Amino acid sequence: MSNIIKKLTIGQTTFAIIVVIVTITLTMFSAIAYQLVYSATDDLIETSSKEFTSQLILNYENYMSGVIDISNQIQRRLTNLNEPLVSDTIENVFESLIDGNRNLRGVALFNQQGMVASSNIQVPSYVDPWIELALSNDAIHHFKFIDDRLFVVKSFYSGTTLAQTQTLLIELDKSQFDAIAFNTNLGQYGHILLLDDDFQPIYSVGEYVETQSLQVINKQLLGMSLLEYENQSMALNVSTIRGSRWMIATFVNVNAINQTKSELLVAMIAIILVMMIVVAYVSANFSGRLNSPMRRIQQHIQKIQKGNFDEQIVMDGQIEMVQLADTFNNMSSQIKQLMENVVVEQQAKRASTIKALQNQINPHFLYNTLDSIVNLSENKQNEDVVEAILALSKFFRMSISNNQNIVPLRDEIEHVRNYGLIQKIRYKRSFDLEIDVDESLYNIPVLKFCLQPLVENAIMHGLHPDMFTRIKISATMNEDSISLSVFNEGYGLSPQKIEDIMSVLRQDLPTQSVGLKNVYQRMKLYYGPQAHLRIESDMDEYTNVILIFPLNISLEDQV
Amino acid sequence: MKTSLILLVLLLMGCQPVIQQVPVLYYDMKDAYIADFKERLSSIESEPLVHIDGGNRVNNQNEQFTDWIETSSVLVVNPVDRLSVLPMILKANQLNKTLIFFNREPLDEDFLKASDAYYVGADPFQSAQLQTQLVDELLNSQRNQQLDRNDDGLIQLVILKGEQGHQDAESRTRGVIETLLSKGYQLDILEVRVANFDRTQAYKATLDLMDIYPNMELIISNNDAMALGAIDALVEMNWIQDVNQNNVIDEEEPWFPVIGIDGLPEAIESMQKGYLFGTVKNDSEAMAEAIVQLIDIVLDKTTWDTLTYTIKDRKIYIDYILINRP
Repeated sequence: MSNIIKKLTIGQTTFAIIVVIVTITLTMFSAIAYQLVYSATDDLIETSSKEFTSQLILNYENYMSGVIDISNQIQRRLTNLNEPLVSDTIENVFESLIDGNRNLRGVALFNQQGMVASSNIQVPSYVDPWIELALSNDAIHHFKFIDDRLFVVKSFYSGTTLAQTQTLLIELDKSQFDAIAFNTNLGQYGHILLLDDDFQPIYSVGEYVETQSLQVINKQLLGMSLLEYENQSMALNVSTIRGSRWMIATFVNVNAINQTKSELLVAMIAIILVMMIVVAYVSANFSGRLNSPMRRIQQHIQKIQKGNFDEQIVMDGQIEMVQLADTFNNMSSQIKQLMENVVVEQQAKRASTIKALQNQINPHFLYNTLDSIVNLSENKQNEDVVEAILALSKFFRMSISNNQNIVPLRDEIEHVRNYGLIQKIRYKRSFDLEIDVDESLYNIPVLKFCLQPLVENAIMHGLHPDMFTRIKISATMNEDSISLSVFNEGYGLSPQKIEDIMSVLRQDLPTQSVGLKNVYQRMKLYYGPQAHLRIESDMDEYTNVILIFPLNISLEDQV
Repeated sequence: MKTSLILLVLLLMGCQPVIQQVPVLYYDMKDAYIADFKERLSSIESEPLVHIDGGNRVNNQNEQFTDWIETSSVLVVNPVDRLSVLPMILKANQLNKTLIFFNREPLDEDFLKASDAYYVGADPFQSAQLQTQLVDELLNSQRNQQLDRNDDGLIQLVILKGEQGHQDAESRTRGVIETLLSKGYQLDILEVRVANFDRTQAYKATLDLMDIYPNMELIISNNDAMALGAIDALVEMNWIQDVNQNNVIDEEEPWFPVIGIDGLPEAIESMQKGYLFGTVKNDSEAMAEAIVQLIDIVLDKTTWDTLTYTIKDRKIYIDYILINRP
């Protein structure tokens, strides 16, 4: 897992984390919400179907207690009749009751033997078993449906010395009974069933499949449940009706309510999906804002690796990214500057080196030297000719042979010695070049061609035409540098003149003293600020030019 | 850590011991008799009983029954409607549960279908029989002469009936008539008057009856409340009179016999003062005790031989107690 995460970019990780968190949160909230609504819906179904059933039962019970009240009234009137039943008395009782009650259609009274004692209706023959039933259980009002007619039968004990049990048969107006459940809309296959104590249907409202209804009622017997009925979701309530032996079963179609549950589920899934897409889009966008600047910086770095420093990153958007880009631009322009500086430096070095070389192989110098040699040979000074030519050849070989810029002090001494020899010949030995350098310092690296121009200057400008001049080269080791000094007797320089020369050297102004300037430039180029050139002088006494090289450069460091 | 967790779980489990609650479904706690009976049952309870009020609605009680039948192995039921218990019995059969009915007796045809059901109650017919014992005692008492006032050899009798069609009322009325007849009394039943178990209705009815039947000799009431209402009327018309104003009806003072049922405290007080002749008490203490004993047996806490009441055909009838004037 952590390996996979490590392989992802910041943007991808951010995207994944946002999407995962949002998915989990959304799913959890939706699940909880759905669960709440689901159970609330089930509760709603349960309470509403129970409420409906309860109300319906109450209505039936009210109807029945009304009927029982009437029956009891009749019984009360008949209870105290002491004489054997007299038809017209009974008729009177019936009439007075029926007049006041639209629910009654007719009344019949049976004696203990089950024979009709009095009646205001045509008594059908099928009532006989009912009379028997009533006599066998005189505590109950027996309600009976037959041929769409509704009867109630009740036996009662006559409270007289007759001590007889008589039976009352009342026919009721069924339309009032029908009105109780009339107009109840229970949905498709929603229905009401009244059952007798043998679980046989005696009355129904609504469309139903008898076998199926009876099967579930027999299984449930009492109470409420949700079930599938003819592919419909039904809430079934089974209860009893007080005062009768009847059971009542209500089947309420709750498909519509159940359907809202599945509709809700679909809606919630849709909402989750839409939310997911939105979140994925937003987080992809956001992670892109993280990722794309990084990718741009990365591409930019690749360009820089290929040497393209000219382009700058243009960044907008997140402030951190803009800052990062700005810093990066600064860095790359600084690198570019540094690289350009290096190039300039290299060019300067090369130019100064070429200049130094040109100084060495100055054609005038060669011509003058050769002219001197010619003079020597004309004077038959063969030894001197040999010496001169040897010195010249060594001088030039050194000038052109070695293209290193830093050389051991030995080479430089040798070079300047050859130069001195040549110039002595030319200037008829009017000066003496003394070299006072300890051999232990011969291996110390110094700038190539640093001494010759100074000696040249000393000869050119220091030599007194009528005087023998002493030129002395010496070297001293300091703590971390070496000082080379070119000392010459002669006119000397005024402090003002020295100041002028130094300022010309430092300020890079054009000067006639090409040699000195070239030495100074090359010193600074190769050694940096640690290298120094100092001029000491006493008017009409001497001039001493001192070069100080730091020791921290080796021969291998040459560029 | 694990051990402490296990200990915690055990502790929590210990806090909720699985005690089986036995629900008692009452038909209506607003009925004073039922409220009193509930108190009796709670006072001797050895089981964790839950008392549930049916609010005099069959449908309520059916719902309460279905709520409890799943979780309880035994249910005690005082039916709102004794005609409506068949589905309860079948449901209990289906789930192998035990039912103990009390106070209102299921029809035999239903009760016989139960695989495991009991009934504890009183036989209203017996209360009527005991009322006739009071008539016997009345005849044998010193007041015998006063009973057959007109000396015609017949007892001019009025019965105050509770409610027409009410099982107890019907049974008590019929029991009084049939038992008196079978005992060979010469009866002249003047009227059976329905006063709905109510004192005021009985008072008015009695005033009316006294007017219609001045030859009336005895009132037998289906309950004490109506008996007291009748006495109110009799006192008002001076058929019963405390001549010497000693708050007691002495032997020489005018008196009229009234017999009640229930053994209400007020009725017993009336009886001790010489007004009411006697009453029959419903022994609800014994009924509560019998129910608790049955629950114990059904829950296998004890055995059948510990039952101190006679049980026949899974029914225990608690005897009424005769209370008459000392």
